[in-house]
Amino acid sequence: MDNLLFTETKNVMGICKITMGFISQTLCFFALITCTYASDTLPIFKANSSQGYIVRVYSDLNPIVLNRIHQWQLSIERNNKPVSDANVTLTGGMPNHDHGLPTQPVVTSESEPGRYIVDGIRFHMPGLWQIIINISETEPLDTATIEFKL
Amino acid sequence: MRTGLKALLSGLVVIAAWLAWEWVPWQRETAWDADELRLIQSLSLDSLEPMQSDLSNSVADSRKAAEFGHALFFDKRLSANQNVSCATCHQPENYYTDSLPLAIGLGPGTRHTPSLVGLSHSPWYYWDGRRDSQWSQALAPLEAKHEQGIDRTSLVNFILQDRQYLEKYEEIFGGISFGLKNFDLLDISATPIGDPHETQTWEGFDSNLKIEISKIFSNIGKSLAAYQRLLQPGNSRFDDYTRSLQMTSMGDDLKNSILSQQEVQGLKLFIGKGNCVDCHNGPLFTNHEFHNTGVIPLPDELPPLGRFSGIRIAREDPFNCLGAYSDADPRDCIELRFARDTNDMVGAHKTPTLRNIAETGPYMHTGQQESLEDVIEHYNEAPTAMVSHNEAKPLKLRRSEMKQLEAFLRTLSAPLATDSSWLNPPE
Repeated sequence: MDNLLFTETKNVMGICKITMGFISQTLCFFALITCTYASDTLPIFKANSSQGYIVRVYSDLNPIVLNRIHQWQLSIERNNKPVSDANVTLTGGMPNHDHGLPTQPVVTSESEPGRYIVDGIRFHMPGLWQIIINISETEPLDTATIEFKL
Repeated sequence: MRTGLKALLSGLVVIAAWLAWEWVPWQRETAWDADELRLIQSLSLDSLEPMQSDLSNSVADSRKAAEFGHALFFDKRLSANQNVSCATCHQPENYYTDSLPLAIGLGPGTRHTPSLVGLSHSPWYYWDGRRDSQWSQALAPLEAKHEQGIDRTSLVNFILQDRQYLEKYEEIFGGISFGLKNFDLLDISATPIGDPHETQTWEGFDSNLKIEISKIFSNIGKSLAAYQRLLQPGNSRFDDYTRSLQMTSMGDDLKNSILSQQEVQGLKLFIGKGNCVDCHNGPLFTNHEFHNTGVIPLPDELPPLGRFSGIRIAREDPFNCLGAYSDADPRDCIELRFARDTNDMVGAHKTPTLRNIAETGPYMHTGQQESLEDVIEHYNEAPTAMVSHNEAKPLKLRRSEMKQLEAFLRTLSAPLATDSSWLNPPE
């Protein structure tokens, strides 16, 4: 986290803490989320990048519990406009355990402009998780890395 | 002389100190903090969510199908020599395992028999997850040559010829098609996965006949699954303890009478230093997932590819959730559609439940570890995996801590929550 260009702390429903940063070489930004409780209508994670992307993560399983496959929705906007028709992919894992997600989540559709449906999310171990969201409208690829603890 | 005595005494002191370090249990704080309490409650049977419906099996929760499956489960006539049933390896008196390192059906098997108790909560079956439903799993041993070894055509013919079974079948699944009823299957052995003679005969069948036979075959699996869904774990001493922790009015003496100090210390290790809860989490003490924990293969055996090959087999299985015999809408097959198949699945095997673990040894996918003590020793060392990498790290527990951990694991045993009438062959 040496290359942080900015840091923000966001409280979602008074519980979630988000710290974000940006690594200049790879156009990455980080969000450190230590808890994931929120209401159904509020994002469980939110992160901004210096490139102007705002990513809000909504989960149909809230709070997130272990071992339940579920769906996320990613709301992505830039300059107050939804980012539509972007190529969005998602990967991740547990950095402390040197393994990936137990599933291969896929962005299956864009339900409305800037709202991307991610199916097949599951977490199977307590501890620190890292989710990488790749957003590509035009080159270069913008990559968001979210870290949170379950 | 005096120098020698000093050296001897020094040596004895060192040995005594080492023995004390290893074997004398330390009295730790037994009060639980909020995170520990949350974790402990998450392991309680009270936290077990209602079993999810199996959308690929429309009779999964049918009482009639369970009764039919109950009869089939114990019926030795469902085998090539009429002497092997599902219950041969999945023995009710042994928590639906067989106490053997490797299963023995018609011949020696290659995997340790897992317990069926609570297994219906899992999205994946077999140690390598090569099946995605309990009914598709139930089909495989029927035809496997080293298990029950009865080809699907002979099996279907057996059901058609047995008046009681045919009656039950038709009550659950509707009438047998006219074409199949009038096709003489007697003494025909045919299946797409058998020996050359059987596969050749199968290939000679009309495509509709193949579908009809496979449909009945799949319904047999669905009935067996309906029965197995009834096999659920019962309330253990650990569950009593979790409840006592929620009762503020209960005194510490009473709580301590449920679990001993050694068992409580073992629980502390289980959710803490032992890292056990990383994979053995939730009320069934399993995340239903696949991990490479550096289990050494049997002598003269290559390390299996585990989940890496298992998921590929599951995708090719004609009886999977997306297959022609599934009752699910393809959109509902989320486990299969989004399953991970990457290289880090090499050598990964399924996390087994720890409920009743003291009663279901030996352990690991080929029964390599004879006792719980051996298993804990394995994780204490966390040897380098022969393929891919061992996700587990050495625990470095002291001998006394290993004993505490084992004592805790023994608190997870309990009679099944299932009515005893299901645990014996139907009358």
